Amino acid sequence: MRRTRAAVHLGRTFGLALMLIAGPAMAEDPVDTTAERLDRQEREIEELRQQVDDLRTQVPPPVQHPEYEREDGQLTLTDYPNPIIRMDIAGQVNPAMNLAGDGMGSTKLYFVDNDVSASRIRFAGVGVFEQGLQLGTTLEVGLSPNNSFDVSQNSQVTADFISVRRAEVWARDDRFGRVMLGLGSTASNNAAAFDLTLVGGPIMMSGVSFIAGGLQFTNTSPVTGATVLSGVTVGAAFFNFDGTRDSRIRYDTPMVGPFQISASVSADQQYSGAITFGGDYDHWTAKQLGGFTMLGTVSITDPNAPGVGLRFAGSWSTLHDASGVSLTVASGFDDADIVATPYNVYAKLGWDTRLLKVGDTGFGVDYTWTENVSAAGDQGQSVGIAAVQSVDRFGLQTYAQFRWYGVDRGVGPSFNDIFVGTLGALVRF
Amino acid sequence: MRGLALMTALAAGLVGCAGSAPQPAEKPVSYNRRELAPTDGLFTGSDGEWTVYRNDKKKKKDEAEEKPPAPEEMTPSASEATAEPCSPEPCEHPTCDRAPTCAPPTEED
Repeated sequence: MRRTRAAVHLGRTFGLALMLIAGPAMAEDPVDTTAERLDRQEREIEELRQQVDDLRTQVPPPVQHPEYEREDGQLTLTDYPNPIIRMDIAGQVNPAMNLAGDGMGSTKLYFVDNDVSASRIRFAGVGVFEQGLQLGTTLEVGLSPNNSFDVSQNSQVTADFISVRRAEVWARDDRFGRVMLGLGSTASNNAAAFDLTLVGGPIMMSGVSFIAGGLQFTNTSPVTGATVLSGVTVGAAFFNFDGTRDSRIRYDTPMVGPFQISASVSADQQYSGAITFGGDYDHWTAKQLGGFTMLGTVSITDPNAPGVGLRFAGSWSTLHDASGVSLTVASGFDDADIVATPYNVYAKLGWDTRLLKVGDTGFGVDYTWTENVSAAGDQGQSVGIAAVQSVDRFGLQTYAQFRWYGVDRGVGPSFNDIFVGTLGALVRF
Repeated sequence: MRGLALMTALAAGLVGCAGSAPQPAEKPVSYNRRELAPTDGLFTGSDGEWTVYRNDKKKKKDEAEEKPPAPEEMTPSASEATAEPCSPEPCEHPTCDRAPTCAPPTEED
């Protein structure tokens, strides 16, 4: 009993001593803990405030292009599969030098942008759907300084020729064909220019006037006896009766073998239709028959022009695959209401080969006969010889051409001949 | 006539420089050469155009080829190496029935 009482006493004494020693510390602990917690919370609040301020000053990230998918990327939101979408930019420049003699004074050097295939830039967007439908938009602008169809003896520096070549929307399904709406090729455009030759790209084609269309023929003035500019340009004297690019709606049937039919209705009540062989939606993939590759078309146009009923144009090109030798012919005429029928006939002998490893080489010799184009009774002839060397790696085609233009007038003083030597380079960038 | 002789001489000169017999010219993708045909470009290279945006299969395939596959992602065939994970929905591609990945559609698709 005494031992129990002593133990209790000893316990109370030890407890009292412990309280005396640790009492002050235990009494301060809640306050310090609270203070520390407040300090920590205050720091955290300050940090959060700083983060909010930082976020406010930051530019929000750009919105990603919608992929028509859920965030997990598995299921489409719409009830059709994702279209394949792409947007492309392409272009070319085609500067050239013309050394021309017109029978008046000295031979002159002209710096031009070659109108055979003028400088341009194209923006194209295409969406391909798995159902087979393709939807596309094309904006193509021609930017042609000193265009060769404008440059003349008395205007060697012309205003920049800027023209919208294509601004169209199109839908294509190989089962149903293609519809195009907007500014672009009518059904008859290029109908007189179907061509398989390499020289036909940058310099030598049925539009023989394009490279020097602005130059004027000269003649002898009946008054002064001096040689003067006649006012009649090469472009007015030689015309291949090709179609145009216009604001239109155009429809192309699906390919039926190598054949395809196109029709278009254009602004100013113009209509045109064409049937092509190997045309393939303007890609000119041509058709191989035996050892030959063939391409051609015929077209009819109602240009709604004074004195012109209907306009017809056509062209055909045959290439012997093994030798690279080709023959290209083109013709066109107006069913004129009043004057004699203006017409044009064109033929070209070409040879495409590969002499150098850097790219293909092409040669061509052509001849044009035109009648009643510049005026009733006028007869024009042109002969050209050309060569093109491609450098595939650089998207480059260098070319040279020598061409003669001659016009025999039906009425009035005769024209002097024009000789034009051309050097140029078409660079696809 | 002089032009023809000059052209013949030029052709002979080119043949001589090449040191080999002329070869047939390459068949282009498009004979419509006066338009912007799909050919090589000076700056755009073999693409012939700058692609501002695309989400088609070629890009995905190119990216897949550029990225070396992790060991656990490697699959036996080349086509499956570029394949995308299978969707929980029924896949249209027949390879999905045989493998846990969908082979990318080919051009013929």
